[in-house]
Amino acid sequence: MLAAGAGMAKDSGGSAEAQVALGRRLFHDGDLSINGTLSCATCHDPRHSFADGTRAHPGAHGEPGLRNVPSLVNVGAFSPLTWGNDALTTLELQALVPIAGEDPVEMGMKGQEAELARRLSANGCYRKLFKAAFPKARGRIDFATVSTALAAFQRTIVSHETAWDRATSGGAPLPEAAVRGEAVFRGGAGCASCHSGREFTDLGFHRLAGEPASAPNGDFGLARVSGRSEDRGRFRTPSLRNVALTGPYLHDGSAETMADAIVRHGIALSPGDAADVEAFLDALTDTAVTTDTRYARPGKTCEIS
Amino acid sequence: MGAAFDATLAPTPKVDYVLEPGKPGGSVSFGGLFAFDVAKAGRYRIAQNGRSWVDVIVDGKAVASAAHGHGPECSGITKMVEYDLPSGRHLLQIAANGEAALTVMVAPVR
Repeated sequence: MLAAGAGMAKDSGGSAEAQVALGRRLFHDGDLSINGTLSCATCHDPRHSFADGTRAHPGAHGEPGLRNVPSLVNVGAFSPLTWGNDALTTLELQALVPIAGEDPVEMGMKGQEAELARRLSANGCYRKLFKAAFPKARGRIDFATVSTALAAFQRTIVSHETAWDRATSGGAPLPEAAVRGEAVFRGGAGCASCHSGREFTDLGFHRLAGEPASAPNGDFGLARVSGRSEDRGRFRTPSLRNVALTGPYLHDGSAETMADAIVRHGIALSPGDAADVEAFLDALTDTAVTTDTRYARPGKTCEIS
Repeated sequence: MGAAFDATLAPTPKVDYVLEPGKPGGSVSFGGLFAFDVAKAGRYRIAQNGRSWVDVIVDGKAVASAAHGHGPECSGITKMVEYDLPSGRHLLQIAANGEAALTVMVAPVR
């Protein structure tokens, strides 16, 4: 359990631009994992809309993954942040879970803060970026400054350039099938009761009708942290932005397709309505975010001379 | 070709990759470059007992993978990637492995 406030590095004198540049470089750096094999981007791959296309990614030593990798598109607008922990309310807190968490082990850096500082400080570009980003801390390299920079970068991953966004702001209308699908989505199917708002999530924890309290992989959902039996099987509603790019679906990646995922919600749709809902979900796709150079792995040239 | 070989990889900072790997790994990871000969054009599978990033380079360009997956249970093969390759000598580029030792096999897909 992380202490309240852990991972927060307040440094008002730091350059926001430097924090973002540093965070981007760290996001793509395998040295944030114990054996250098995993960066944040290994699982949150920009080409997959910051998810990874597998059910659950193994940890650095091949430890079995527990949950499906969520997309990071518009993640700066979300709190809480993960499938099953309502205490992870900030990106700064959340970053330490994959880096140093043990349930499950992902990047495997628990107890390795000094080793991380050793690796990063060996790189002159990092030394300059940490000093520019955290001048009051004199460029200190630790879990707190690393997670703060990662959070600053993740808040820049913004996508509101979908066909649906354009249609709702007076642009080209959606195809007829997508229009019908949105009506089903917001109407009889009841999808919008949880997948609500501009980001298509209420950020609440719910158990799907018909889903067991304990998933086949043994994941109790929110109950893993709350200890309350009524929280078994409850997972946070994921955003549906770029959902067409982020399969497989559900907390354990057990739904291979959007159609499978819709069925698992316990909603009975006619084949025509199901196809229309999928057409609507396709209209929530922004492929530009997957190729935006602002999110790509930075080159060897340092951002600071 | 068609038989597993035990590769000894170098620390990533010492590897001079032909192309930047899709996932290069950190300074404490391992990688390497190996040549292999394809006698007959077709689909070939790169199997390994690790989870390293694999690129196959033909005429200086990375070939897009055609399929990927896991090996059979208990086979020791943790990752397989398939490529459609022309005949000739090609480069296998391995990156972001967690250890210096890696067992790799290149074999035609039948």
